[in-house]
Amino acid sequence: MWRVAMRGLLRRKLRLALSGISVLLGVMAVSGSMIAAATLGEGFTRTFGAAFAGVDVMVTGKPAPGQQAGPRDPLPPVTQSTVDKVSAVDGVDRAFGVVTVDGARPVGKDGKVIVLQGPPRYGVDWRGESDQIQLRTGRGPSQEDEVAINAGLAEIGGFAVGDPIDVITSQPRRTFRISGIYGYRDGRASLGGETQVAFTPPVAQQLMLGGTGRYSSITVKSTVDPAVLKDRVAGALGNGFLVRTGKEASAAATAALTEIIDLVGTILLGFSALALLVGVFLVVNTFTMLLAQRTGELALLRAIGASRSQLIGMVQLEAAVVGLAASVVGFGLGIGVAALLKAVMQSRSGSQLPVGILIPEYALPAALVVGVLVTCAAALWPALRAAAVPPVAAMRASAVEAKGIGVLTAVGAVLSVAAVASLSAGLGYPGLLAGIVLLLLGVGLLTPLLSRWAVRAISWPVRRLVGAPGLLGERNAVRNPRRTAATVAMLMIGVALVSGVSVVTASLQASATASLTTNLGSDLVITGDSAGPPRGAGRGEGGPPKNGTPSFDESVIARTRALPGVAGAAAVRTDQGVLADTRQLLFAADVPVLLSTLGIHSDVSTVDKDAVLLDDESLRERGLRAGDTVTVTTSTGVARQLRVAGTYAASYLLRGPLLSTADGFAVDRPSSGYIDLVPGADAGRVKAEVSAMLRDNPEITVADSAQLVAASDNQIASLQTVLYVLLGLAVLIGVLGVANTMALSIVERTRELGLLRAIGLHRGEVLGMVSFESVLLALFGAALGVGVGVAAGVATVHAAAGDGLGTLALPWGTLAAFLALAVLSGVVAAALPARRAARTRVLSAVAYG
Amino acid sequence: MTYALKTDELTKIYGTGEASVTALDKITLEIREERFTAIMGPSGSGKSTLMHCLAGLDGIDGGEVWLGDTALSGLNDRGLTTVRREQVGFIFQQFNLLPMLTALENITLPLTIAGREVDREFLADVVAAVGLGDRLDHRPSELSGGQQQRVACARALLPRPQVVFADEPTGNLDSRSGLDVLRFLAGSPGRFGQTVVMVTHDPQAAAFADRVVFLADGRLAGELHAPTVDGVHAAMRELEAA
Repeated sequence: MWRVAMRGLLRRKLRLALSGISVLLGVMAVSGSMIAAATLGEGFTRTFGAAFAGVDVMVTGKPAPGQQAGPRDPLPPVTQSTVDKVSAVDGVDRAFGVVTVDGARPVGKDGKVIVLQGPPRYGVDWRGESDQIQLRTGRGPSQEDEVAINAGLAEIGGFAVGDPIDVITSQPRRTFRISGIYGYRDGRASLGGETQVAFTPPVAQQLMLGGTGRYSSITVKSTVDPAVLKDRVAGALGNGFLVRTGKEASAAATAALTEIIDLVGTILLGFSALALLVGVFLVVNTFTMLLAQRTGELALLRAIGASRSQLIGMVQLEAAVVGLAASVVGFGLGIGVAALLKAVMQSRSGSQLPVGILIPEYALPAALVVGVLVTCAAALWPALRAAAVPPVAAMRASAVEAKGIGVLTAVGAVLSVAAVASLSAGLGYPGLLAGIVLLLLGVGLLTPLLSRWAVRAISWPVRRLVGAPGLLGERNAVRNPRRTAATVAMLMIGVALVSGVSVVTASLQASATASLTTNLGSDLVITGDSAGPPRGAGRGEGGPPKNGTPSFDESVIARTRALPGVAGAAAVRTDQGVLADTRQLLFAADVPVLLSTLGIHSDVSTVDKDAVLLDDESLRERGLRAGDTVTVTTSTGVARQLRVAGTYAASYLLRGPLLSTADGFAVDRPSSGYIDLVPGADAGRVKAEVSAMLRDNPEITVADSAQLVAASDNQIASLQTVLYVLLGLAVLIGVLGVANTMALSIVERTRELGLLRAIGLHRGEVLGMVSFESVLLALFGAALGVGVGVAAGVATVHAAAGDGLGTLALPWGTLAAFLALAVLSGVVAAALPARRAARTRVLSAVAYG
Repeated sequence: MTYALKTDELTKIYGTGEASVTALDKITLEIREERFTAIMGPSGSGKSTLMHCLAGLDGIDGGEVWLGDTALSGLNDRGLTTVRREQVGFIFQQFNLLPMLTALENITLPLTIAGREVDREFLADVVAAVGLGDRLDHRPSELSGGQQQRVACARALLPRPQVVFADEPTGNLDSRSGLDVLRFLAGSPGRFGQTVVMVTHDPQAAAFADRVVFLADGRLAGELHAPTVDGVHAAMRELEAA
């Protein structure tokens, strides 16, 4: 049996290879995600671990409930008295306060703020050289106006000792002179791509923490076991502090990056699941067709004494070999994918990871097992069918004709009805997901029935123009509904996902545009965020003030009010705080001025120091009512009990707790401002004048609603691109499926092709016939996919209507482009099979049979 | 006297050099219009090769074939295809029909390919002659072998080709169905003015023809006009003994 299987395999190697490609891609994604996760995880852990190398125990302020003890939320500072307490703990050799805070934004020589994608921009206090930090040139800062910078920043900004450098912190932009440039012990310019500006300690405390005598953390050195010491220090300090060993702190520091790595891993795993699912279809299809062609051969084997289980074993063996080969190649490519991801992460973060490519021990076995199991499982059904061939079939030379589709259709109809019910019942996200899966399955099962008339409907307008090749291509496309269905299913799934995504993203864009243009409430917005003011805070996922919140001087607002054409202007301070145990962006402003500037309606006109105004959506979601008391904690750890004074209507610009004072905010300067113009005022002139006031502040821009729309479109578009690339691969596999079916069909139909050539079909017309069939299949699959995708997309938009997706938009142009691409891919898929069909030798096909 | 088909020292050689085999050796033959001609010969005599060369299914290596006014030598694949499309009808031994088309669509397929209109009246005549009136909407898989071959006959005749070639048309049929097909072919010259050339090794089939041409070792080996079964038998025995 082994030899028979191998011979069979070699004779059909090209077609089997085609079926293996999808398994290959799936395994590639699986192994790529495993290897990338291990490599990046270890790399970043080592990188950031270095920063904590000399730290035995670290003490920081305790994060408020809901905040993370990681780098994303700044922790409340500690004071000198705490340092003294820690120093007195038994076993502590040395304890000192340090300042290491994200948010020192250096201004480059071009006048623009240096922006990093990911790594922090630290402001630190200079405490001399250490076993970690070594000066490369110059000396440490000794004057208030001196700083040392790390070599990473020097490289990015082209700075040298003696140069002036502007830095923006929680305070406005200030100019320093660079006294020295430092690197790290092992020759690195930065630990992980971050920039560092080292001030003298009092300046660091003032600029980064808002007052002298404050530290972001306390470093404890000791010879005692860190775990033991940690408990002692924690006991001595009591509640209100976070005490961690150096190792724990290091792990927390990498947590934010781990999140990104996990996200990449999840996307890759999702893609691999999709590729493997499509691979199952492809393998089932290929084996079914190959075995149908070998009916005579199989029956002969049965006739000369092979048992059913031997036939099944033979087919499974073939599948296992295909799966194994695909998995080995896929694993190799997976290593490449991981290397690519590592390179991307390194260039995005500007860091060099101190690791090569780490391949976890389980990765290779896991990849092989997945690949082989999926292939064998997919081949099982065709194998069982093949084994059911009766021995007498060897004597009958008849092609296997199409089977009935009654049961499939019935099940498909039931599933589709259930899907529609689930999608339209408004059951929230679980119902939505279930509905989409059911819809894909249901339509997949209905495809054989649909193919009978849908393919003809698609071909009808052009068939007459194409003549005989059109008629023949159309008939070939529908002659075996099951095969047609299995072929287009893969394409359908891919196109459905792409179309669904396009509907959702188009609706996202339309919704953002609608809320920006119809109820922005402000003609001009002063903001430090190119994508608009902080928002999304209503869901507790507020934009983290990661690299420091850009801010500007409040006097700008007062001067703006005095400009001709300005009806009103208001400033808003923001802080990443906590509202009743949930992370939440806090707003503080002169409430009546803000509400009137934005034209927001509220049931109260003023809010006193002990009260908070909540937007109606947050109020509803949290089940609060006016008069209730809530705990509001700022990022510096100031917690206050506030009375809910009332509500206001949430808008694009304002959604979250609105306070009347910014006490305890990390930055006591406005982060955004809103300008209301009198009707007919020259917006461009006001914008230019306000921009001129902000000229010295490179982080802050004045935007009109058109700019905000463009920025939000940009964000969505880049998200879209990533999804399109991944899903495009899924569609590509679907096209492979069509090519595969076409290639197999051509072999089956050799004699038909010969007959057609004999009775006068030209070679070009044979090409046309095969291409037309392929285009019909591709277009049918794509049309089904677009239909399912639009339905799923519309349902998603409806389900998310409460989450800011208020406007449904159907991207007709994009959807039409998908169909046009399907036509093209049909032609491409048919290219090789059609050429082979056109080369059919008339005599050998027809005359001797 | 007009001829539907003429050859002048038609030669066909397979292979090259020492391994080459002369399948047809300078065959000169004339086939008159509106006649039913059978080509007979023992296995390997070259009768199928002759038919392929006459019908434009295969190229020729020497001499000339005239199909009506068209000379076939020197035609490339495209030219031969056009000749087959416009001047030739085929009936093969087996697998004659396209499974995804109905009987009617199979019959009209050559006209569809050529982009020509269907002559409804003539279609009705031909369909009536082959006796398929109520089966036209069926797929080949729903027809018996004899019915399928009669569909093939109708398909071959409908475009009114210069010559209909039949390659062992009864080889796969039971004797009754075979007789139906032979009667139809034999009646075609008189009924439709159709020239028919049939390759066969069956003396009973050959006896339906107006004329039988015998072939042996790639050369013409005599002929019979208005043959009888016994006459054909005798001629074949003679050839096989030689």
